[in-house]
Amino acid sequence: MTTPVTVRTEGHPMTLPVAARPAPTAQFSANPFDRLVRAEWRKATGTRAARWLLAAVALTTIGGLEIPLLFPHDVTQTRASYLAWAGLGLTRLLPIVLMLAMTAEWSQRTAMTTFTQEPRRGRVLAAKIATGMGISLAGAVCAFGVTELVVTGAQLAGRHIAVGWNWPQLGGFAVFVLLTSAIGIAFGALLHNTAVAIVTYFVLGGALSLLMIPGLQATGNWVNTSQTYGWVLYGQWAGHGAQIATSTLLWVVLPLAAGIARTRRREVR
Amino acid sequence: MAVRPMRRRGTARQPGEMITATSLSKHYGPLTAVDDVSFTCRPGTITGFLGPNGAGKTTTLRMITGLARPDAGHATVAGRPFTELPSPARVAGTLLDASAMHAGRTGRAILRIAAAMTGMPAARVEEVLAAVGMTGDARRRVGTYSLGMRQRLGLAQALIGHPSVLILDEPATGLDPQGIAWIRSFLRNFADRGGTVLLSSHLLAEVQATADHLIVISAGKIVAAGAMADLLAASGLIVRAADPAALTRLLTAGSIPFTPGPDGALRADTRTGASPDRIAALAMAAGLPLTELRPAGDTGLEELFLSLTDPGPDAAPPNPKETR
Repeated sequence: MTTPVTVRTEGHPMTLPVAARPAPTAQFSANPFDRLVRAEWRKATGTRAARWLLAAVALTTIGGLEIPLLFPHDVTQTRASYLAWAGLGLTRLLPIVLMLAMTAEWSQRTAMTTFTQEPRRGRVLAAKIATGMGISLAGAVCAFGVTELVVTGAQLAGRHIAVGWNWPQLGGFAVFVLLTSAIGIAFGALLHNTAVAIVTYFVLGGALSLLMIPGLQATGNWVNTSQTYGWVLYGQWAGHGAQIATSTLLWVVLPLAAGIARTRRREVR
Repeated sequence: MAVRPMRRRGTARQPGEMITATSLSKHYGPLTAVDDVSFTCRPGTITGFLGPNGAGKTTTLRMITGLARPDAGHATVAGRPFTELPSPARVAGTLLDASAMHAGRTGRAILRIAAAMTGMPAARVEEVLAAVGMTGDARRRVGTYSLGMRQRLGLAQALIGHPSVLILDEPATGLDPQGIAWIRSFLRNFADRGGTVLLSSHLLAEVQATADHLIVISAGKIVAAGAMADLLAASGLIVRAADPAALTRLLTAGSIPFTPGPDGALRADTRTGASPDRIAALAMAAGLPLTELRPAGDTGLEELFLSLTDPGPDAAPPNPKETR
């Protein structure tokens, strides 16, 4: 129980809300997972950098939607196409937000505090991953909402947009956003350093896009996520399942597993 | 919830030992950072962990709090390894590096996260902010804080879960004299109400004024440990007489070891049982008036610290010609 005591020292009146006597450990249960997620959510969204980035994510999403709007003769005028462009815009910077959240503990050295509040580091990582997925899902829902507004608005303005719709396309959009985010999460979990993670992400992305050139296409179809997740985005799962899974294993599962192992072992200094 | 036995590897926990370190050792490559360090901290005490920079204080504290893995030995807090405490921040508040805070968050945001992690209500954030005198600065980003303000915020963060143990690495660094006086009375108050404090410092005066137990570490090894009063007593008694030669004869005859003290006085070694009573009685019996008889006290810890951390007689003394 708290017994506030007021102490005056050289003009510093202080109330000391400290425990009156040592409490036995057994009375405290482990930090519940939802509590960890709440803390991680605050961390991921509470910094100035994260807020600017999220604002930029909103802008790139809207920017993505401009493309089918501004080039009606070059871009298929379907609702699914608008949504896909919104998804592409959304995922330009969203992985960076998540990398920032995953690396901040090490780059800002707050791991020292976090891992004394919850020494089971695997649980902290799990809470971070859940938070990252939650942010991506929220982003996907917002992008979907904005797309609906834009499509409806364009139709009212006289644009002809095929409103035909299918579930694989909508599901593909959501899975695309989550998978792309998962790459950011995995890179952040493994590399621990914000700048290194961001640079690696973009350099690798650029290198992989070289696999789009005709001679290398066969390899690219298995490892280049721009290609494989493109199929996801447009709901073209059929026949590409193994390729999508392989690229995910390579760029999400393996780095994430290595990152979990590294985070659990790494000494905090 | 199953009750875990408190016994580990044959080490029975004595009641009241809130922090134990047992033969902790840590190597970094060829460097031995911590070498066979053992100690305990009890409720109601402030233990000062004193040593020069690089002596192994920080590494030891990080092993106790589970941030670094010992190569040998183990440590417990409240009877369990720190990493096995269900919600450690409710048991032990830690402040291991006040500069390790996210510069982009406000002071209040950092404490809200700590409150969320430990399951404390938002009102607790305001309580601890008030406790460390940071309410007025809580809206500012930590990047704008001085080191002293970060120390205060770090202490608030350590306190958030109502812990009964505080583990603090160099908590007074960066504080102004007022702040040091404040943290001293704060920790005294915490200990007086049953709390256990382990704090490190490389500043003698700070530890001498704050702690009641002392562990001195040098080059990874504990070189002295015990109650502050005992350690100070061990540094001897200053004895002075108008006739120094007679005093020398008196102590020699009484088998009291001594060394030359300041300004012609003698420093009697109290470790072999010489007490002020005994010296006074001897002097009286010999009819030798003493002009001074007091514990070497005030400067004692400094001499102790310097002697304990001295590189040894083989090391070359500082060359005055090289001193600028």
